[in-house]
Amino acid sequence: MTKDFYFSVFNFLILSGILFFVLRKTARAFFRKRSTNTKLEIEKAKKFYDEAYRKLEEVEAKLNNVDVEGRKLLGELKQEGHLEKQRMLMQAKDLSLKIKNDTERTVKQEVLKAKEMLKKETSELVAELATEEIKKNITTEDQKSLSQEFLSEIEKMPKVS
Amino acid sequence: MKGLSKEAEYFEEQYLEKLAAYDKLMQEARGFAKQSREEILKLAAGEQKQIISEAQKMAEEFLSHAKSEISVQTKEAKLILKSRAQELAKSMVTKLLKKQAA
Repeated sequence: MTKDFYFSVFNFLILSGILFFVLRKTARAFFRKRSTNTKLEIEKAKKFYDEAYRKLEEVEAKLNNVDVEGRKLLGELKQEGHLEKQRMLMQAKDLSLKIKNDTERTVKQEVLKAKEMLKKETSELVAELATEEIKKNITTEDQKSLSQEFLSEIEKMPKVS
Repeated sequence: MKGLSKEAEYFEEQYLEKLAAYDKLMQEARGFAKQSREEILKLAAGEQKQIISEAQKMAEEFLSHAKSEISVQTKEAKLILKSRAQELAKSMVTKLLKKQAA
């Protein structure tokens, strides 16, 4: 039994030696690869962890700052509204001024129109009254004298052959 | 490594929850800010309308007053000119006849 045992041990050692000799390179490569893969997986997991932690920190900071950000937004939009209001009121004032100027121009035109009408009516009236006055004051002798003068003026004119 | 991944997943969940809360709060703030801006613009539109309406009213009153003033003054001028037209016509005729006689 002792002999068999030694023989088995001897066989085992020889087989192990052969196996070690044959598989040593493959085994080394396998364990190296496994080690690399494990390292990569750990790095990947750490990267994911860091990224998640960073994002969480960022959003927590944003949440802590949400009041300030909201107030800033409110301030900006209110400012925008006030600027727009100023522009609208400026526009309204410009339009009011234009309305005022247009009205003044219209009034000036109305005054000029009235003056022109008065001039025309007065001239016509004076001419009418003058005609009546002439009709009242002219004598037969004046008429004769005017006719005579008219005829002599015609005679003075050059004759057409 | 499993512990690390689990914690990272927990962080990711927390991140998504807080991001949703942040977005909701910001949306509310944006809505409130927009409403405030709209209120300012609504008031501005009212003021703008009032300014223009007042200017139009003043212009109409001014024009109406000026027209009635012109009408009154034209009537007065017509009366004065009518009374002077007779004198003017007489003077013209006298001058004309004198010139003719000379």
